[in-house]
Amino acid sequence: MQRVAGYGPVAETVARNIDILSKILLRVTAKSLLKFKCVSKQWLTLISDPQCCRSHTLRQILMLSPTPFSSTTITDPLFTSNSVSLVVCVPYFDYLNVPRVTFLQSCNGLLLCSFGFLVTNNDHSFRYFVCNPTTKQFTVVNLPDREVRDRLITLNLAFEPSRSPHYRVISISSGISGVIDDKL
Amino acid sequence: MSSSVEAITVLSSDGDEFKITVSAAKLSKPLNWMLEDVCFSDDCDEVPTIEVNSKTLVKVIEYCEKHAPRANSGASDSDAEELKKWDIEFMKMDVKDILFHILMAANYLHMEGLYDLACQTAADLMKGMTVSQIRKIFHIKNDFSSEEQEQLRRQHPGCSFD
Repeated sequence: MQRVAGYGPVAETVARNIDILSKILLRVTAKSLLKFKCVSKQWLTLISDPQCCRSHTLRQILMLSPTPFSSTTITDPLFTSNSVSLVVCVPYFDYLNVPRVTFLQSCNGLLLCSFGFLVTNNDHSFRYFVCNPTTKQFTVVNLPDREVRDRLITLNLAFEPSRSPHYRVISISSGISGVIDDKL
Repeated sequence: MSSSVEAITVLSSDGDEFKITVSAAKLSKPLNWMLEDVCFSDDCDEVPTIEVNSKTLVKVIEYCEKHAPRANSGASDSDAEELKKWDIEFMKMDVKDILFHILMAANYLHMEGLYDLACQTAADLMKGMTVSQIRKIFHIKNDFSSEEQEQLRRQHPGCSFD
């Protein structure tokens, strides 16, 4: 392969040394990192490694402000909580295969959603799930027991990368509160 | 080693001689080991060779001499700030020519500060580049089959192999 003028064989040596290459890649932005997945199979494997992702995230936290991540509730008018448009049928969510999705919260691109269904004529029940619209993956949130479900006040997504690489779903019920593990 | 020795002579891989002060050499573990092992007194003519070319070794020694006072005695915050500014100026070099040599040398000489600095400079250099520019710099072959490229495009819409 033709060498680019100026960059000698030493660049090749750097790229072959996985330790050095990893150390450099940890320092590029997440956006560049995603772009570089297309460089070669080796780079794809290296960048896709969960340990690499986690190290990168932790490094970015150290470099940025003390609390760069916060869970945010969607404030777009389309999703405001007291209007009919809260319940929407969005074509992008066809893969969820449920008729009407309610968006409760977004957190770094993950969405916490619910859909309601009739149990009996007058009795509603809700299913909750977390989905990643980018990868179209989703997981159902299993509430621990009936008591939690019946007395549920709110359900929230939380993420604190310096503590854990996993997102948590936090449920608050009257008299009970708890964390439901969610590893999407 | 005689305690009166303040500077030592080393050879680059090109065979040129360089002087480095003892306090600066202590920034590198292997150099430090050399200090302990090799006789540097006047009546000893053994000159150790460092497997780094002359052009790179000049820069590495410049870095060591600048950082040595702080590394050996600790320093105030204002010194640290000044040193940071100096590092930025120091890295404003012809990157094509020497950056990766410095990186390899810092790795070989176990110099954490310089290694971090060089990795960051390399990362800053890379972040604006396209995938094909990266492949050219590091002499990497695109080894994805067309099916694999297609699959990646599906997973990451908008990704580019060029």
